[in-house]
Amino acid sequence: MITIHEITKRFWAGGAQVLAVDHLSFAVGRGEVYGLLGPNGAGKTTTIRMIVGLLRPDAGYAEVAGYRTSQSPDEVKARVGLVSANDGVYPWLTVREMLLFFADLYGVSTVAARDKLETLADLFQLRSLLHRRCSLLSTGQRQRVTLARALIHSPPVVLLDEPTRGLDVLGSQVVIDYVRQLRDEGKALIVSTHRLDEAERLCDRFGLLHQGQLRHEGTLEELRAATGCNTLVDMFRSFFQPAQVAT
Amino acid sequence: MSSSDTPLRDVPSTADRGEGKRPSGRLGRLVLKELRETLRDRRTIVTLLVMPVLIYPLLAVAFQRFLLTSLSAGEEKSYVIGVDSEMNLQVLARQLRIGEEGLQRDPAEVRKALSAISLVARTDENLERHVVDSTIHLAVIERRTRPEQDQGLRSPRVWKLVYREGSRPSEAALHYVESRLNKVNELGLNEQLQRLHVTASMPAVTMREPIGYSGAPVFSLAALIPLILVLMTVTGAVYPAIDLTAGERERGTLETLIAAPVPRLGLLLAKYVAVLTVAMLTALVNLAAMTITAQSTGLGASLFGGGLSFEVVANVLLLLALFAAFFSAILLAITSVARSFKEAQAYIIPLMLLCLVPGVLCLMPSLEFSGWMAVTPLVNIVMLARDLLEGGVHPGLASAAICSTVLYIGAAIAVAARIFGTDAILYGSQATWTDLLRRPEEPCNVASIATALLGLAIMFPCYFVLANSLARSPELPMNQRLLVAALITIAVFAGIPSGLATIGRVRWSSGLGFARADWGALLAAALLGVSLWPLAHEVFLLSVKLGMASLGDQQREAVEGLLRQFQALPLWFVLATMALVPAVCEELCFRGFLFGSLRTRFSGWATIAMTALLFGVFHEVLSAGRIFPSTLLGLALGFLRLRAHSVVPCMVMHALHNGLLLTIGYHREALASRGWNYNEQAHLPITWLACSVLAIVLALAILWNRTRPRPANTPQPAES
Repeated sequence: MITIHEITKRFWAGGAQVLAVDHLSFAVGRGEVYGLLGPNGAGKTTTIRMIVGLLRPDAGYAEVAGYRTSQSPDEVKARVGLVSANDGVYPWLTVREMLLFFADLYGVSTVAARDKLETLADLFQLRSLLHRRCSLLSTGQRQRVTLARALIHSPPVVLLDEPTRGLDVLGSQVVIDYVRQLRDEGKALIVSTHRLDEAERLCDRFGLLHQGQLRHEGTLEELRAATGCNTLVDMFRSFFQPAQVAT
Repeated sequence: MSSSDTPLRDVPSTADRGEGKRPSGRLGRLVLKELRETLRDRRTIVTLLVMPVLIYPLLAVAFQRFLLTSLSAGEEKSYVIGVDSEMNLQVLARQLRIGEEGLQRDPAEVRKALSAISLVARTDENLERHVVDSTIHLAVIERRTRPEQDQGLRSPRVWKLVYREGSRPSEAALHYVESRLNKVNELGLNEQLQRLHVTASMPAVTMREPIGYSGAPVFSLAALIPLILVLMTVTGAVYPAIDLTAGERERGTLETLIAAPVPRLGLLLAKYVAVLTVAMLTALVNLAAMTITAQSTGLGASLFGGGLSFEVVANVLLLLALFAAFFSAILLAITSVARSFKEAQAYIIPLMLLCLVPGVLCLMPSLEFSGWMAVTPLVNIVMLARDLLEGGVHPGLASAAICSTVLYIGAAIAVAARIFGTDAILYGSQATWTDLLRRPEEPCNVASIATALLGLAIMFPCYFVLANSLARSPELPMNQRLLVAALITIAVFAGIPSGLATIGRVRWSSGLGFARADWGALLAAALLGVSLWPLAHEVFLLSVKLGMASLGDQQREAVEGLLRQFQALPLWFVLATMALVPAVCEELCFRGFLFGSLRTRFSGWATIAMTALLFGVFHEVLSAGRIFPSTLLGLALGFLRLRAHSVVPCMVMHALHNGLLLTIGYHREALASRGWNYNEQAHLPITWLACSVLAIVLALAILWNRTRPRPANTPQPAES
């Protein structure tokens, strides 16, 4: 469902070129949750942005459901639900208005959008917030609205960049449960998160990124066998901070 | 999944979901959301309602001060005279009227002079204070005296005239009142002498004889209106423009918006309509506040000459719409570059200062609205506003100003769409700024709508200025004029589109329509080229009859003179410069570059209509009255382009059409001697028209037959 092939992206920062993503390749199939993990600056968000077509890769390509981002950007966008790390809301619109606006942007019919809105409102406990202006929402409430916004058009591919950011334990659990449900529905998901304990519970396979390169890829068992570490936290420490581990 | 896999259809494609089918509905909903978001914000309400309510009364006070203190004594003006009581006001008014009638014989002049006087009764005993404050020009206070003892004589009313020393308007008002009252005294004295049967003669008699002033026109307050319009419109559009562009990025909604499968041009168009709506609402509120203030303070007459009539308000409203449309687009283009509110404000402040320049420019009374100004952004609207409010505007210049402004609006929206939501704006990456100007890596079939709009915005002013400059150079010999005209045509209609196509890596075959044409299409084009002119002639006569074009003696003489000059040149030269070059270059532009671009977004008929209208507008710029026939010719050429899928038949048809008309004009004497008398004013013989219609029908039949979509060959069942 998602194919990334030799994708590369460079940025200019302070007059120097920085290689944000370096010939990255991986694939995510239907009904699979792929954890894109790595320290800050590893290239996770850049990769997600290139998949959905917000950033143009310098080399390589991304494909979603057989559509290449560079060639059919609208076809790709229509199939992707994106929860970004710095998603915002329209402060003067109500939650309901905002969700229906995005449903309209994705070409969802009014009837289907209202049905989906009802489902998502129940799922993310938004019913009491539907007529509240977005400027009055708390951080956690905003995050739940953002998740609902990304799923309002029932996309087959969901890209989640820090989906539990700002949520409490119960809120996070709702997201985790829903991600599982989406997986069971056959959707392909990429989850980028710093909460490694959540990732362990949530993801089927992992890609460990460092300095734009894919250092390790596999299931948790495969990673354990390859690294000799039991948890993702230990793996991170051994991969990315060997000096500290040694001390 | 590998790259070679067939795309999955688990989600309807963008085409299936009807984006292309209901763009107007989508646009409407996008606009509604933007308006909802903007109008709920209290900052919009402040600029929309609160500011006009506060600003205009303050402006009115300032204007009154200006009127009372700044006008020179020699000019025709109005005076505000305060009187100490209502009764004295009636007496003074009567005396002034008698004095005026004594000075002026013409009743109309008397009425006009008296209408310039505003007598106001002020009973607050602060009349002197009002004079000092310049809220009135002159105070007239009755001085109480003892009744005269002389029998038979009425006791005179003694007026104390309080004026401000050194203030020319105040001194002029004093002079005005004194001279009228002196006349009243003179008349009264004469009456008394007559009653006493005494004949008296005046030792010195004066007569007035005004002479025309031929110097620079005096300063008009109407010139201030465009400046106020600039300010009020910008004020209304600034906040929504920032909020809907830089604001999106700042609150983190830009990324999700760009991640949706909606073209950026569509998003920007919705934002533009929303900003324009708010700007117009602000302008309407401002106009209402200004109208009420002007009426209630009596400033209307001073500001708008003949007063604040419905026509004046309608004109101001139309100008506001033009201002708002222009500023909204420019503001969107500028704020699209910004990543935050602060950054946007930093960009807009210089823009606002820049906008004041043309506003101040039009205050210069000696500055005339001329050709280059008509296509200079903003200057054209400001000068148009000034001339319109002063009651005299050239229709050609007004059309050029409006057309060029519309094209600039399109270009600004296109630029905004190109910038809005790019990497540079979304994530602030430095390298991607150059992406905006970088050539695409892969070739594309047609130019984008944004590129087409940009092209139009460059072409129109270039063509207008160059063509008008040539028209204003009568000293050039005709052969050089034709050569320069051909070069201008090549540069504008071929150079700019092909340049933009090259920069944008647009394939010439598809993007400019340089595809191989079917022989049937070429034949049809040739037939249409030689047979359309009689109909075009009849259309021209119809447009003259409808008043859409004129053919006066002066124009006829000009055409005759032109044809005589053509006859002094070789026919091939005339045909090459006036038929071949325009046909090739204009078709390359209108049916090639623009048609290809617009066709990607609009239906065939809509594209034909749009390119034909643009074709007509460009021809109207050169010669008034050509819009109707040129648009019709453009419709025929557009239809040919749509069916033939190539621009080559259009070039053939256009060249033959122009060439035939020129040849007829060139050989008109020879044709007349053989009985083929062509007259611009007369209808053509019915046989000619019948032949023309027959040839057109035949051409359309050939075109239809040769270019209709053929059904695919169905495989024959194998013989058993």
